[in-house]
Amino acid sequence: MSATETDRILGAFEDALTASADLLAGLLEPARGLDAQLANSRQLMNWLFDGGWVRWGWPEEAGGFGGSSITRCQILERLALRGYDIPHHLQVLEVVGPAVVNHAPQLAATVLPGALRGDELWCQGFSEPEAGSDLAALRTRATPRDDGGFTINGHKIWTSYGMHADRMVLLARTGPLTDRHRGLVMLLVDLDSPGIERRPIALASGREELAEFFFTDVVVHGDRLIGEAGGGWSVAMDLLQYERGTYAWMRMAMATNRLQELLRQTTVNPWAADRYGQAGSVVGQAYLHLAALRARTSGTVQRLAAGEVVGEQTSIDKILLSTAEQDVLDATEVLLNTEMLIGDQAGDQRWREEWWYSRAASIYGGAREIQHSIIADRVLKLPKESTVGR
Amino acid sequence: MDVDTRDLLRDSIQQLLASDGADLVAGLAELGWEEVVSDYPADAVDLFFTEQGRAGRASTYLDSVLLDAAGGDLRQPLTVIHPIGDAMCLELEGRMVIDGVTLTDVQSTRGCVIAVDGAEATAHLVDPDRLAKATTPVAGFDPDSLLHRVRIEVSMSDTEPCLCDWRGAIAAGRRALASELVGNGSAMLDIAIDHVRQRTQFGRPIGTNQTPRHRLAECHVQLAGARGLMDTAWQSGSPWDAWVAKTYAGYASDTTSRTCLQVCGAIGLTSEHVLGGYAKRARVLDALYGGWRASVQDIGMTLLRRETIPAGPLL
Repeated sequence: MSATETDRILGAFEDALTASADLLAGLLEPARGLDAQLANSRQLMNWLFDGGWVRWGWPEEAGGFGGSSITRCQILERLALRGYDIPHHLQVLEVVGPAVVNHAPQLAATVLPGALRGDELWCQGFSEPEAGSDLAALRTRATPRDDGGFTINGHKIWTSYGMHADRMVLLARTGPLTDRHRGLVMLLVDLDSPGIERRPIALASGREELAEFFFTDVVVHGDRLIGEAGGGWSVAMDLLQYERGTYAWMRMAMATNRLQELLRQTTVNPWAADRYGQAGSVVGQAYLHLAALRARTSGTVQRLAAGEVVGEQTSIDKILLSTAEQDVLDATEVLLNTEMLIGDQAGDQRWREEWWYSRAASIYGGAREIQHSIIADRVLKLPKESTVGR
Repeated sequence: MDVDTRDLLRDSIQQLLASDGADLVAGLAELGWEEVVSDYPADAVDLFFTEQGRAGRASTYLDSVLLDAAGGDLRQPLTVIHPIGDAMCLELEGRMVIDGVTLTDVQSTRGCVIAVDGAEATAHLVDPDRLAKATTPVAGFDPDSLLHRVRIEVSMSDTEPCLCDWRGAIAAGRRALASELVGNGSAMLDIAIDHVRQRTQFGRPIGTNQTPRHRLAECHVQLAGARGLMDTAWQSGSPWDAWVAKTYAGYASDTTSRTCLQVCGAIGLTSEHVLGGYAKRARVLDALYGGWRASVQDIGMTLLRRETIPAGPLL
């Protein structure tokens, strides 16, 4: 797609957003609680899909327009900078969707259009009590059935949006535990299937951000297979690239919008020289990390859109992302200090919730320590870490 | 610039930088540099300064970079008086209060270019004879940077105002300094990586311990972030992007210098080891046209005033 064509689409998007300003006005106000936030998310998903805006870059068979995901990335950035939260639904779909398209095109054609329209919410089922950073230690079993399906037994945890999700992209094991990353399988599971129990997990902010799942003899049909049985690890690694691509890009755009909101909301003024200087320092630091993140991530999304495999270099993006998000939310403490601490408006509560969630940014998707180790091993080629003490 | 041209050019630059005591700017001229720059204005300058940083050398090329970008009435060769740290030039009641550094002895130059702090479209030419007595060679933190300090007041009527794009000149200078900082930082990182691979304590290389591994990885992250911002700055040519890139490069350089000086241990602090030379040069590069700490705060205060985050370039 030519630059002028992209420009035209972006211009049309901005116009459509302006034309729908009244319809979408409620979405600019902070909503209290995940239920209300997900309802907003769904409304915006419907609007984005029906207008065609988020269909760029998805194949036509899966409900898209074809073309490049770069167009979609830029639309989403414009959306965020106009003050709208990028829908929660997309924060899952932009990670798992490409893997479904790449490894299960038929399944994508069946289920992706509904998901892209926001009519259903998906979640990711990877982490387990014994498998956090060490994902290859997962124990949930997928026992092959004679009809080509699988029977699932096991326990998943730290599932974002888990209490509200309709489907889960699940990574489970067909072989023995000692096979580690071999013998895994990726499946799309309907969460209303018999044998699934879930329990909410609230973050320290009080928001029921996460959930854990217990699977007892849950039957999944063979047409829900993403990739091959035994090939789940490579699907997971493919999927992880998009966590460093479009997902990181969306988080960057949202954090940029939050920093912009802070600039507008703060009452710190230039006459209070000390406070203003301090505010300048935290804003400057947050902005610099966001700018560095954008510069890095724009390269990564372009490489992904061109079909290149992005490897260990994206550990850099991941570290810059968590640093930037934490810097932006830490800036709230300086710029909005009293309200951030003791304010009880919906907006104050949202800042606190996001402050807590920003702490997760250096934990989920491979903790910061894992990313540093990947860079030390594969990029800097340092000697392998010693496992014995002094 | 394609990869082959880049490799070829890098080799020539590296050979030039490896030659002892050579006048680097004269050497560049012999390479046919003018033509290279006219073909690849951004890539060539970026490449040279990155390599100059990696080699830990100093040159007067920064002057040409500023003057090329300034254009207007300024005719090269001239010597620029650069602000460093708190030292800068100000206009006060009809007088020019000059404080700054040059990259060469003013006695050997045709004219000196001075811009007051905040100047955007005007620089001033001053006869070097007026400044000669007020100029002293600098040893300071990094004698190898071969700076000269100029401190004097002259009447504004003794200066010749020249219309030019001084804002663009500072942006060009900051881009070059950012490239040099990143080149310098990656050289420090390579030195430290080598050291932790080889230095053995408690029966194993110290690079098998998690703390130095993770600290060095973080340096790589920050230098890569700086590299990304520099690419943006070189492509857009905008003064804001140049300021941001140089500031982040200074920040990354500071992290890298701290880390490398730590993991190289006592030997890295001595004059017998190469690391110190890089760490010293990095301090000077950071302080030219605004050190990173002050710049972070200035950038933040600018954003607080504007209440808007500038849009990044289109993908």
